[in-house]
Amino acid sequence: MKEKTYVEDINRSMYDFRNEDKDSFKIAAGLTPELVSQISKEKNDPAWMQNFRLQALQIYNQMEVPPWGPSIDGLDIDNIVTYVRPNTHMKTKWSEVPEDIKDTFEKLGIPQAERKSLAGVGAQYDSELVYHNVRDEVSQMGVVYTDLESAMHSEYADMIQKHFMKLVKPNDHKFAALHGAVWSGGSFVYVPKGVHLDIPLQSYFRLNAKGAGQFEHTLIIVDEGADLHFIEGCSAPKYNVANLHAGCVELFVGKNARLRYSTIENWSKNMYNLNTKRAVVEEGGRIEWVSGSFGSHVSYLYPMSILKGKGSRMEFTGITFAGAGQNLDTGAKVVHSAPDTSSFINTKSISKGGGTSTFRSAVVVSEKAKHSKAAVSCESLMLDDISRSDTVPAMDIRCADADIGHEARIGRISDDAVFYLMNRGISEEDAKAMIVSGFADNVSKELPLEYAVEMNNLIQLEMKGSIG
Amino acid sequence: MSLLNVNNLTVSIEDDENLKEILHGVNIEIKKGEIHVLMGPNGAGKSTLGYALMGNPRYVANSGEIIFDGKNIVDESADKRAKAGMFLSFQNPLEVPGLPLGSFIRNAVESVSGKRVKMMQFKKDLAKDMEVLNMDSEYANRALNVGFSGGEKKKAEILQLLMLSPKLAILDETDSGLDVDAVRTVSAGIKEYQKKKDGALLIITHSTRILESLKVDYTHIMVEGKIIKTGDASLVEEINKHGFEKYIQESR
Amino acid sequence: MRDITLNKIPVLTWRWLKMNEGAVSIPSETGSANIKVLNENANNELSKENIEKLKALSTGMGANMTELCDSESEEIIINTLAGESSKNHINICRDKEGLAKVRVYIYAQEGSEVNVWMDYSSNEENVGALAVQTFVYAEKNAKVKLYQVGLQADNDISLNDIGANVDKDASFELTQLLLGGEKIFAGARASLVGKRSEFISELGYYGKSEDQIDLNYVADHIGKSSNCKMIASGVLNDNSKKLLRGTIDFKRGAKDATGEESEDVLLLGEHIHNQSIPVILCAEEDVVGTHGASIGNLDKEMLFYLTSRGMDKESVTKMVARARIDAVSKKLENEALEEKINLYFGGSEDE
Repeated sequence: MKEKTYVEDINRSMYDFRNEDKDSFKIAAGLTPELVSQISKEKNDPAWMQNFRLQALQIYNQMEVPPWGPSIDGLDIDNIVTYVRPNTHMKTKWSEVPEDIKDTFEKLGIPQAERKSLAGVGAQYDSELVYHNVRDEVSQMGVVYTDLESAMHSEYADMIQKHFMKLVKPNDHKFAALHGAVWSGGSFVYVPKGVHLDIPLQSYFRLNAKGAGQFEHTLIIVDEGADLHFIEGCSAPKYNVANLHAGCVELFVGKNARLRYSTIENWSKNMYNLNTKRAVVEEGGRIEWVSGSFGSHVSYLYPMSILKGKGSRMEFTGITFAGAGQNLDTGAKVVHSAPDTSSFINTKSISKGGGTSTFRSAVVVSEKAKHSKAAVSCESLMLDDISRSDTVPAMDIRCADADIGHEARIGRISDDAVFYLMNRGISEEDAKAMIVSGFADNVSKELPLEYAVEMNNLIQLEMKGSIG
Repeated sequence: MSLLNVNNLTVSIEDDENLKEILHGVNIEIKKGEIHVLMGPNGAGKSTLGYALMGNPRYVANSGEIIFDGKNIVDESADKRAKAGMFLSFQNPLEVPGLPLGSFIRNAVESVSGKRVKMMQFKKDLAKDMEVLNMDSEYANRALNVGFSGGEKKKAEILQLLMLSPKLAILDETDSGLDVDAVRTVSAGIKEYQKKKDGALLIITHSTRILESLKVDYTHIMVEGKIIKTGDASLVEEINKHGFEKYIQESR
Repeated sequence: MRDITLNKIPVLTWRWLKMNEGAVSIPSETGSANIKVLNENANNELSKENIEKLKALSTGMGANMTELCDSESEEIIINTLAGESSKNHINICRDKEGLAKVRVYIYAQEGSEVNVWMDYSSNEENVGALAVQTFVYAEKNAKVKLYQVGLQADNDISLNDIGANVDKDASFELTQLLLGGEKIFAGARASLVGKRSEFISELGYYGKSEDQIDLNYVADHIGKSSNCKMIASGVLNDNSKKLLRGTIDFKRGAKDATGEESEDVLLLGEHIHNQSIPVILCAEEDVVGTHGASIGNLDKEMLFYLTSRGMDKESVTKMVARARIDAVSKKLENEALEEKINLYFGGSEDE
């Protein structure tokens, strides 16, 4: 019998286990000043943060939901439990983490990865960080990697106040305001001047509670001449109730510093992923984004880079895989506001099983950005005719002395390529899987090996299976 | 008096914000009316020398001199060098939609000579040179290099050479990818240039076909950014027989 | 004066970019235009039913433009009978102050070949606005070629809109040079309804001083094996602004369709502003859609090649800028119009 290739829904069972929702403490659904104050109290916020949250709440209440992008009608913010605190406090020894939570991260391979190849690990379970550890030699170099809450009460308090939500302001959009009001958990990283971390730091976010929101805040400051690779992984089990992730990532890349920020996002398909990520890069600095979006029901994700210093540079490499029931609106934004800056955006997207993927971008080159260069390349693959793939790239150029290139392509797997591989004795199914893996090559070759393997497995799983 | 004197020229190429040195101290002297041939394996830096002499801003001269007609032109822009009497026939001429070949040449001629050129006289001169190159007169109205075949592009380059009649012409692989007939036509054009102006030539080439009807004065072998041997016309024959390996060994 | 919003993009994006639609102030009072029409082998009669069919077409500039032109428009009908071949010239000169409105209906019956040349100019003694809306209906096997040259005076407003329907094996080729006017709004939308229907659009523009050019081009691929090619090539000088929205929309079922957009912008002015949003929407697997854009100064290798012939950077840049316009101008297949363009740029240097 001839095998026909068809594309199976993503196999998420390895992420889909869930623990009983037995948390000690839960806040009533809905969003009020009282509730926000209660969060502040619970978290022992400094006074400025208490005020900040309340102001952000006001902004949230005034702002409207964006008129563009995928529908978020399925998300009823009033019924989302915005704050869930698991029944544990942060641990620095893995053995002290409660069994069920530990079990979760064991299944996700987090401690193994740490033992193998990471300089430090943070794990967030629902709203709080449950585990944080940094290798001794790394902390001896002066690298700080801790949860944001305790950092606010440490010697870095001023630094945090100076940077927190200065890059992504609460009035940026409705969900940034929401984040400002109810943020909880996340990481603070500081890499001092000239320090090069050869192995990555990693944070893992896990949303376990049903109908909950995760609002972690990641604040990373890479000082002059320093070098860091930060990896972020996300997942959640599947519930039939909408979950919300409105995290915020703020990255400050100093003069001649380099930061690589890698993300493999694999939230479950009930997740509304309305995440905001932004970096500002000083003179000669460099931000590199590597981004894989596989999960979520709806995603709005466009990491933004502000090239503020002369000669600063950004690279964005991304892949988005939208399957049945998914509407993933992803891309990147870059603002060139200094001379000699350069940006390179290279993305791939795959749509199948009725999924929708949209590549959305904005390249802004200001009048000051003389001798700047920007190149955007996006490629989309349609795997069947019930899916959808859109490309919405915008360019806004105000400097004549700039060089802007853009290329986009939408199509399907080439019959010729499949035929060529089949001529070499490879089955049609394998040929297609190989072609799709090759298509995703831009991202996998930028990831650390373990992650590249995991991503490739996700794609292979996706492409396997046969009917009739 | 020598027309071109290149003294200890080092040249780097700007590539993704980094500079990579390609030529490491090149010396060459060309007198009025002489024909020099530059040969060497792929990647030796032959085209780089051509670009550097003509002033491509991507090729940065780190040190050394380019004395042309008694003046150091190493810091001059390409248009100034052209006005001084230098010409480069490009290996891959670029295409400009909407710019007719004829009016481009007319503008160039006016610019180089600094004089207005009468339309009638120009058309006559152009027709004459096009005839030498077996070019249909229709080409004058076609957009510069747009839709031209490889051979037509090279003919258009030589047509510009004839019309601009410089003191020195650098021909970068003008014969590569051409069939026998096209090489013959291009050679005829080059001879015409020499006759007209007693022009000097620096011919960068892989093959000898283009040299057949020309009287070569000097042959240079370039390897890894240096001229490792200079000889007379007979060197071309020797290279054909033995390849470059022998000379590379000798120079070590 | 009153404000009107036009050129809405088929899918929205971030509002802060201000690219989703364009707005312009136009005179509230109606102006006038002198119109000359020359038909060769076409008549000016069209049934009410067909008129309605044309008026119902979606256009690039959108419903507000259609509503604007629904009243007080001068109407021109060009109807070419089945199998016939017609040549038509429409010369529109905006005359009195205010907003002059013209609507053109081009109907190409089965298997006909229709060529229409349109050019716009203005009475230089006053300032005003000219709105032209052209509907094109290409029946089965028909070929419509529409050439438009905008040469209005420097302070004029130009609104130039097109809506087209293309049936099976029919084609619609549009060649436009938008040169004159301070505010130039243009749009075109082609519904590629039939199998193997085709839309080819080639656009040239030249922004100078404070010009604002706002464009919206859309190809809707409905028919199988439909094909579109939208090419824009322009120059921005001085303080001019340009916004180009280009959308290829592959609807489900448009199997084997191909679409190509390309844009080339030469940036010359110190304070130019160039915005581009090339959208590809795709709900069909078996299609190929591509887009390429190149925006910036004259390419460095090109600059070296041309300056190596003795001309300085400035004259080479001018020459290339002009060549961009001439490249489109050549495709007008009309020497009189080519000459008009030449005059617009200050006349010929030759002879």
